[in-house]
Amino acid sequence: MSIGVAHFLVLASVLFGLGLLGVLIRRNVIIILMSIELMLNSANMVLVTFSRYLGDTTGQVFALFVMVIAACEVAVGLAIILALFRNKDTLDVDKINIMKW
Amino acid sequence: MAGTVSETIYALSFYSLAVMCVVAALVVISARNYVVSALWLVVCFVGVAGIYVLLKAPFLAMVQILVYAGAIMVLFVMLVMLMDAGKLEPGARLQGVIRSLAAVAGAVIMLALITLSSSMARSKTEWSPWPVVEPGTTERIGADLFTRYALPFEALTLLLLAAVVSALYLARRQEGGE
Repeated sequence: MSIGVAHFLVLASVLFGLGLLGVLIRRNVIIILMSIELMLNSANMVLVTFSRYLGDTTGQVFALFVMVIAACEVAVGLAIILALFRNKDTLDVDKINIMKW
Repeated sequence: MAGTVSETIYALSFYSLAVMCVVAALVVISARNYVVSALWLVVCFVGVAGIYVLLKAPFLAMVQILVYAGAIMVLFVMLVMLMDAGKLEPGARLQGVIRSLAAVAGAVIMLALITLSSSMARSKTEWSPWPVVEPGTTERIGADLFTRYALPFEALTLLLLAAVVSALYLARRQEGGE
């Protein structure tokens, strides 16, 4: 039983699906942000898998770029959550509906 | 013989890391307390770093641990500490029919992705020979970053600066309040 590309891709798909389920089902902003991190991680895993598959480091460079963008996203996202919590006293996305028509 | 032994070890490490990642991800999305979620997210990130090692990307594995398991998790835990945990409702979930609809939609997309990925098993799956450059892939990634991808690299430094400034602006204390 040798481990091929498909094994890594299936693992990445499972992680992506779990992150997606977290975003869809949970209503807490922090948990949703963590689920987005899970999905970014699985996308990175696919990039690295194909980098290994094709014998080319370009995929790893792009995975590095995705990590930088994920770090930016978390910093700004958590700052927004902090500002939101100071103003609204809630982290439930269903209660943050002031902009909803 | 030595080939099969190392292959078995490789398969065993892959499966144990995969189980670790999936279980940790399940706890992350199902835990009622989000400090628990944050700590299990670290477990998941470390598992992914192990997968990177199996994929011969040791530099990315190190960056994964430093950036995700280090910096990003510290941000999450700091945020939880900055807020008054008593007022929060971490268990908030969708209710009723819409919840089962969301779960079904997520499961269908996950199954579609898994089917698509496992179809790779029927096509050519042998790994291409990894061109070894001493001391490893880090040198090649560094060379790529400063030659072919120099412009996106510099653009990312600008993005980081913008993110730092905007995060500081957003998280500052309002004048007059507190």
